[in-house]
Amino acid sequence: MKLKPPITLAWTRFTSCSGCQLMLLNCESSLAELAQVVALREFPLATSTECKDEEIDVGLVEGSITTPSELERLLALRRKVNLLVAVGACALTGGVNSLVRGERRQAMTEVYAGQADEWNTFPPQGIEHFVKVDGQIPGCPPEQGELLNSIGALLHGGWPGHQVMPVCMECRINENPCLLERDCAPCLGPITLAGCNARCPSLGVPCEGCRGVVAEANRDELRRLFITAGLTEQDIRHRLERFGEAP
Amino acid sequence: MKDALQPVAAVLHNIVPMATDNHIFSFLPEQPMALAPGQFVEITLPGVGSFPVSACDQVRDGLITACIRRAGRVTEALYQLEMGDVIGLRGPFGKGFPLELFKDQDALLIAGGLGMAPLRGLLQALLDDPHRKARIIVLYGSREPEALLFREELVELSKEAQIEVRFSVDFAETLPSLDDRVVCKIGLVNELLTDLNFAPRQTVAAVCGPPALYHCILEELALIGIPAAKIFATLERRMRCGVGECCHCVAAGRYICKDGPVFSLEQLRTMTEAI
Amino acid sequence: MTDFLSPNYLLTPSTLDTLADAITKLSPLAPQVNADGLCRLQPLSEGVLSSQALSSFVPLKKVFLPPREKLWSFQSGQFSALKQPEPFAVVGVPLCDLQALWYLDQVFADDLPYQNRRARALVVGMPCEQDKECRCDRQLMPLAGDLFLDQEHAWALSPAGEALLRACGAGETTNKPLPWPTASAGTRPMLTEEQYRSAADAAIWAEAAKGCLSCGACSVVCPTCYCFDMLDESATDGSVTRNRSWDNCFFAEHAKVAGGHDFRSGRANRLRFRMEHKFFGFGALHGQNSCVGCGRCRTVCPVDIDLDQIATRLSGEELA
Repeated sequence: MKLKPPITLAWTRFTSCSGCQLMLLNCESSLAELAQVVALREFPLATSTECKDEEIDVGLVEGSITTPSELERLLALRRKVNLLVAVGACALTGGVNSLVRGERRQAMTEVYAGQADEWNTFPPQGIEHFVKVDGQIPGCPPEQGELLNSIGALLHGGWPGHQVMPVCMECRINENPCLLERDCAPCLGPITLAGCNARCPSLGVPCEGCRGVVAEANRDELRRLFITAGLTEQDIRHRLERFGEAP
Repeated sequence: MKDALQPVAAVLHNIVPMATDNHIFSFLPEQPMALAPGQFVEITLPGVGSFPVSACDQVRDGLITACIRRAGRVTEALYQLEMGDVIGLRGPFGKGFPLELFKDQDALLIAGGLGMAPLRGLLQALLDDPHRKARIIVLYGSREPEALLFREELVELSKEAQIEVRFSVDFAETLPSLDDRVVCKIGLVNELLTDLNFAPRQTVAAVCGPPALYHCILEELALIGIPAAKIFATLERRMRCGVGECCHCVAAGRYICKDGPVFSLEQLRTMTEAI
Repeated sequence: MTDFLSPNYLLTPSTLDTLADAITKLSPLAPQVNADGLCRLQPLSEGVLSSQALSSFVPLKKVFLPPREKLWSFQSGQFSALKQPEPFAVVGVPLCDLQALWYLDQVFADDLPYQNRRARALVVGMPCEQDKECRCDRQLMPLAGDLFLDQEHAWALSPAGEALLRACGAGETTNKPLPWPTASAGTRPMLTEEQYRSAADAAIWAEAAKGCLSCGACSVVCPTCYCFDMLDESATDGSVTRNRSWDNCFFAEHAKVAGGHDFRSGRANRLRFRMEHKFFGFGALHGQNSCVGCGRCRTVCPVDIDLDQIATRLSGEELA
């Protein structure tokens, strides 16, 4: 069934910083147009109204799942949306939320002391761990263009295609000096999915891999390059695990 | 200079459901478009993407007709469209089956799975030739009886003695009762050749199916006695531009989209690793 | 193949001035070294024509086959083409890039967006200084472009170039050959297609490809790499734009079809494919080596993959 505008859309937030919502909210020049074709039923950063509809065209999910109540809400959402889209690194892989170095229980006690037991949580996971996901918009935060392109493609009855290339290629196209070569910086550009137009390395910041890893990534060789560049095994692990890429 | 990358708008004219996830779509392009059997068009769904497909019928009343499997992101979106929706067509691209070679020759069409779709286009072209008297033999293998595309039509044509049909299926509890004239076996499609009575020297063969089919059957046909220059296969590749530029489809140094997708066994023998 | 013989004119200072004015009016792009040490083809900052060619990080091809370009737009059921580019010029192009331009001209002979840009461009070559990575070969293929200038001479590479020279007052002709670098490194491997094909199972492929990160850098900087993909971008007003963007044959999806079958699986196969494309060409260009010897890929590769070195080993020659 092809969606007819206005598409009903519910943005649901789980454990996250709301940065993904902010990216959509910041698309000022497109918001008026967007309002013509999309009926927002839920968008916590702009309205406290909760979605009461029994059926929704598209559910956009931000954040990772880390409590039983979040899981319940996610399952309920899946039941009433036709298309479920994971938005941002947290919803895709758990994101920075899943970054717990060492023993989880110990970390909880360090942060919450005596109240640690009051929190009924489990290690944060991406939503695909629990439900079928129809589309993904990666990034921390996602690119505005990609958010709009995805919503635009839904109006045409599908999901947009993406070129499976690494950030490294975008960075070379932008004619940036290579941070890995020049500064021996731990840049994850060679194995990270492009689409951000090499945003960070173009500003001199090594890629942190927020968009996830490309298909058939050559981790072994990148690790070898990092070691050659003077990084330690620990540096590399910290780099890779920031966005849930198991070292 | 014509811009081969610019689509022509076309209206989704009709959808005929056939087997599960294999529907026949017909499109009416704004400007008339020729499309010979074995050639292909790039179907564009604006905003979603494009994919290559061969026709499963002659162009009739300006309509481009193709049997399209729901197999990926873009075809999935195609299955969401409704009649009257506008899509884009680019083409025709590539070299199709050499129809002139089939004149006065027996035609042996061998299909595996979805490979029946382009061969059905060739079959229609042969049937449309009012002067044709030579035999048309169709050997068609599929996973299961329900997945045989155009099954009723092929049986019907066989009843009318226009063609001879033999089916094979990989799996079946019971074989469907079709018609006395129609052979249907459990096994691989090349096994349908074993007791086939035909004259290899005056036969032109056209094969279309998954890569595994080509490995076993093309040289077998040559061994039986069909000249390699009269055995044709159509190759599947990731064809993006259609005009021999983007390089995705290249095999053995050839642009499959432009030099093919139909090649003779004579050509394929020189194309290392193409099949 | 014989050396490309082009009509050659003596340049008087006044002709050179007139010519420089005419080129400067076309807001030319020129290779310029920036503060970070990288050489880029970019708008001429001072309006003063250089007299020397430089090897830009991303070569001339980006001007005619941009890394990302709009092919068409779609709105309200109508596809519409995009508007034609304005006339422009590129100056300071090295000879190897002019050969590469000839090669791309053949590949994109029927490509309207490419030809639209070519028809409106004035491409001006200039003498280069040989770098240690240079392995250019004047016999490899002809040159494309319009003009080649040193301070005293001008070579007309196209009818448009010749017309411009004459309009600027050039008259007296000479027989000076194009100033190809004399001490070209010259150690290009002699790999035959037969050697390449018979080495399909050689251990060197997996060995050399093992380190490949599939980062895409090699094809970005290669003046004759032209793989591309096409993807749509939808706007919220219902309009769609199709973009063409550069691709690379080391990417996992390059030969994968719907349904998941990969016709070129694994890095070793992809390396062989790249090698075949560079050394033996595809389609109508089969038999044409397209490596102009600029050395960019060798320099940029993070894991030092060197096609020449692989070719040398496959051809059984000693390593240079």
